[in-house]
Amino acid sequence: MSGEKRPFPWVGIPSVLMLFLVLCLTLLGLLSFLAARSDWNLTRKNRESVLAYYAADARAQRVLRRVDEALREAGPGGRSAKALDGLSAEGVRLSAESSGEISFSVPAGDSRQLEVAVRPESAEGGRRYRITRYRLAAVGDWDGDDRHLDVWQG
Amino acid sequence: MKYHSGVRPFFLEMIFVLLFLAVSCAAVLRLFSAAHAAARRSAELNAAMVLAQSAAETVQSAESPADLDRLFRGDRKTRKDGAVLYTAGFGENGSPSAGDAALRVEKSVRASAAASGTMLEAEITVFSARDGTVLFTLNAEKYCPG
Repeated sequence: MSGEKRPFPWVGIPSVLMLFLVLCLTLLGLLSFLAARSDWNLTRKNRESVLAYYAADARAQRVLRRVDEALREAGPGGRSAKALDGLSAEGVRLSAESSGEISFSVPAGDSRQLEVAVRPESAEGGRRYRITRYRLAAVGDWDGDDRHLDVWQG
Repeated sequence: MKYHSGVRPFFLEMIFVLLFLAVSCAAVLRLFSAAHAAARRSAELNAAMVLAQSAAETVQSAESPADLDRLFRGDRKTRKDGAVLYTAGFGENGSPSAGDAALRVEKSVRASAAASGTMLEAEITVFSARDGTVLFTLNAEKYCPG
């Protein structure tokens, strides 16, 4: 046994331990860096989403101001949704619904839009409209039912 | 002679091991440092966004410009360039903090009155109280009819 020659006589236990330690540290560092980077990417996406939403919200408020001005000019007798149908305010087209509401939608990013509907009020002196819908909705229809999901069936 | 032939290679190996370990640790430390910086930046931006959205929703809840003083009653109120500036300090966990604030939120609200109503335009800026850098800026508007 003592006469046998080791293939790498200069590599001892300290070298092996050190290589293992460096490998572990590198792996740990790489994983934490990748986790932090993906977290940062997610935060940036969230930031864009928040900015898009509040830009759409501000635009919707400006449209509401224009609607209110139009209703004020129309007077209590002329406050109807049909009077505003097809009008454009802040680049947004207003449309009258059969329920007597005025509705419009403002894009909030690539896949979402802010949907707003108001009902004109004919009462003298009070508010000229009431907001009946103010919601963030997906632009396209949900097509998840048609997609094949590769999940475990048990 | 037998004593020397056993100990010298061991010490030589140890020297190489320590040198390599030092170089590797320097590289790995830079990796950890970059990960820490990215995580910190991400956490700061997240906290700033939450505070800015909270302030924006507070502006949205105002029924009239007079409501703002009540809604931001805990803030320091000043006037700047024709706008009302509300300033508040927050800790790292987002709780209000007057003394050692980690984040400072400034809400600059401008009211433009028209015949039909008043438009509130708020520019919300979140600063890092540590070095004064801007972390996040959000613009919100609210139309108050009447």
